[in-house]
Amino acid sequence: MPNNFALAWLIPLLPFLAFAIVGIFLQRKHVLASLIVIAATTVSCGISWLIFFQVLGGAADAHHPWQSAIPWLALSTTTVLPFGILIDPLAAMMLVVVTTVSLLVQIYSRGYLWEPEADHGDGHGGHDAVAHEAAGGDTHGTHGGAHHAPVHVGPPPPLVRDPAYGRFFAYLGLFTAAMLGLVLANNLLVMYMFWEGVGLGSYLLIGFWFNRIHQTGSYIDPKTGQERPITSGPAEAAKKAFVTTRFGDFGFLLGILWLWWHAGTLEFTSLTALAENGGLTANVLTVGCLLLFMGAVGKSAQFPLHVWLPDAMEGPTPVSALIHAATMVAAGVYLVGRTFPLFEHAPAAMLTVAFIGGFTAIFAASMGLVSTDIKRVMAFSTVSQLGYMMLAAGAYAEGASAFHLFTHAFFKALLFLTAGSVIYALHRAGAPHVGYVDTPNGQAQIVPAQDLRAMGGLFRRMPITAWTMIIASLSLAGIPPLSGFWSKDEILLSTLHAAQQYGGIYWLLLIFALVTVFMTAFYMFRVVFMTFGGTFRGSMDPQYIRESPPTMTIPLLILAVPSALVGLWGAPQLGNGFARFLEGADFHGSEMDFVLAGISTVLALCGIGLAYAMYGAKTFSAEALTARFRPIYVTLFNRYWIDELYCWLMDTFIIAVAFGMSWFDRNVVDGVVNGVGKATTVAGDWLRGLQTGRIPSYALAVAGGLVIIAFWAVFFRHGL
Amino acid sequence: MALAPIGLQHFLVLAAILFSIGMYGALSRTNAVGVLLSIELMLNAVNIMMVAFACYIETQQPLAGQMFAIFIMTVAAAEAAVGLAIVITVYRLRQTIQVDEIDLLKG
Repeated sequence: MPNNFALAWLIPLLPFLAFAIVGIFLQRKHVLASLIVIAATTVSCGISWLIFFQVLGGAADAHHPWQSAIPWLALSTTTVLPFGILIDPLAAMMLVVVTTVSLLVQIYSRGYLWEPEADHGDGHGGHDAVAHEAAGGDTHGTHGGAHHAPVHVGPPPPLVRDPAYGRFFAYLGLFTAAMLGLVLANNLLVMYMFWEGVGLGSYLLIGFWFNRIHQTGSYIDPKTGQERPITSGPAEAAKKAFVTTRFGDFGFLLGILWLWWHAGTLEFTSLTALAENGGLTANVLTVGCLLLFMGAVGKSAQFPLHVWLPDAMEGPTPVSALIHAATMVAAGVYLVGRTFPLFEHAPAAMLTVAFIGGFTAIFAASMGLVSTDIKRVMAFSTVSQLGYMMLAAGAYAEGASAFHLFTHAFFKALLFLTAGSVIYALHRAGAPHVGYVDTPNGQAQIVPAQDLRAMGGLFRRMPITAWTMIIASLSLAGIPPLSGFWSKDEILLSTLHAAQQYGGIYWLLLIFALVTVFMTAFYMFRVVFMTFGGTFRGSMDPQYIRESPPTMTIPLLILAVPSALVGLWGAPQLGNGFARFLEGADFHGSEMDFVLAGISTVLALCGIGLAYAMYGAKTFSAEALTARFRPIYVTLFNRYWIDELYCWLMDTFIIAVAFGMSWFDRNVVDGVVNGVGKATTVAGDWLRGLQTGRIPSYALAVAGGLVIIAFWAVFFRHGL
Repeated sequence: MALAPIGLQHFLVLAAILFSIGMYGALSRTNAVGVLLSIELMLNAVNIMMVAFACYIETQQPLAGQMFAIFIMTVAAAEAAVGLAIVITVYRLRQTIQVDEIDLLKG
């Protein structure tokens, strides 16, 4: 059967060309720019599906990947690093996910990137609201007054295109190209290059509204109990994301150098062969894998580098759906999957991966329980689900990890897009930039278009958004037979197997995973009930809240299908086609543990039930519960003070080290340099005394020297 | 006590004495003309040595020493001419020929 794998070169190339053309020539031609990028992505998507079906037909498998490479960096006449692409089932699966989600997000963005006309041109405004009083710089702005935002009367202003519409699509093209290059890379160096490329794309898109300063979150003052706004902005969030992920990438780079040093190759196939035939010792692999894992921790926002992802929500919501849910944050999981044979032979690294993953899953989910920002709940959820994927990888179940990546990409992208749809609708209805809600400890400043406390009652007004969000939430919560159930169940089962085989910490991780199932169901349905249930709690007139336009709802409807059904591909009862596809000849059948699946489903239903009781039926009050467990609530709400801890570390430890370094630089390094200069001056001063300028003294020196040479020649050279 | 017959050593000692006197003069005189005279003395000490070697030591080129002496005299004449010309020029410029006052090269 002829294959079309060579077309794979075009997959990253086309979006990149679109980026170049739009970025250089067409930034002002909004419609043309968006159509060019969408067209390029559509072609890439088509090729990806073509390749996917060929891989499905057996044209390449995990042990016989298709590769194509050109010489790239000539380190010497014999050592040439190739620039190559590799297609195996994992890459084919990722290609389909990335191009499909990317295409839908780009179509959705055509509708989303409009803003109220009144905001146009003042450099603020837009969907992700603004606090005009905000002062730049300080992290915790204070709010003194108790005035209410004025209620908007009459129909809201019409929407106009964002002035940087073309630039947004150029960036989307750049990101898509880099992500596809990352997926296709056949060696670590090429992957690293695109890895930084997606980091750049993420940075540019998070900071897309870089000229805005507004409330980006809230903070409960532990002393007064008052909720205060945190004022920052997309530019700060973009920097935070970039620097935090760079911190992990530093480890990734060291890992690449380490493996190059010990293995002499960076190609995945050669590294796999070396790991499997014992060409690399366990210690070398452990160090190498832990360093690579640092990169994955940064990119996939795992503890302790998770802090950037919630703030990355400052980017436009389609960006959050594409980059911070479906694709880029999954790159860390993909890296572990790509180098999985290496990890498999490094048990200590595996345990680290499993522990970081399992801990992140429960840690992030716990913060999601109390977050009041619709996008941030989903950001914490993403961190938590990525933790699940890492846990599966660390439990020696790469298949389960990839499966969850696959299903999660669809339902989490859908969740973000539905959240975006809600935010868009509230903006269109004239949501003010600054709003206030009453909390038990006084009034709190909020962002009305994103704060769950200022929503409610949207079910009738936005039926498509509501239904698609419910489907995605059920899938994420793991209710059978939706996608999330199958992949999450496989992760739980693989953790159980790892616990039975290795014992110890894996049992703890299994408990973490099960508790996370409950938390996930709870926080997701808390969002659903707070958004769509009850009555509208915002300040503007709810009659203007309408369903989003078709360019946004159609992608939602399309994504709802895989969100619900794609998991059936990996259902053990239906033959587990996904594992069969991914593992090829290694596939040994899969079973299902009905007890475990039953437990997780019951936990998920309990979570949904509790959410309904608290936020739907109001059987018991959420306020009473938070008051009762006030210290826990404050800790969760303030995200365990991790940001403050890092700030404190920055302000004390790092500044102290920097002062030490600066002292060393000024006194020791500069001292040596200046010392050389000073020594030369002193020696010159001393030697100039010899230069009397008087001929006789020179002549005397010459004569004296002659006499000494004569003595030496006569008495020492020839002996006495 | 019989004196030893005049031989090479006597000439060499004489040359050494003359050279040393010349060097002392060249180093100690402050008058440029005196310095030039002292240099002449040193050159002539060398001449005596050359001629003495030529006289007492048999070599393949018996006249080499004399030839050197003549060369040195020629060079000495030229040097004296140039040297005196410099002295006159220096005197015109600085109204002195005391060498310890001519110290433009002082560091």
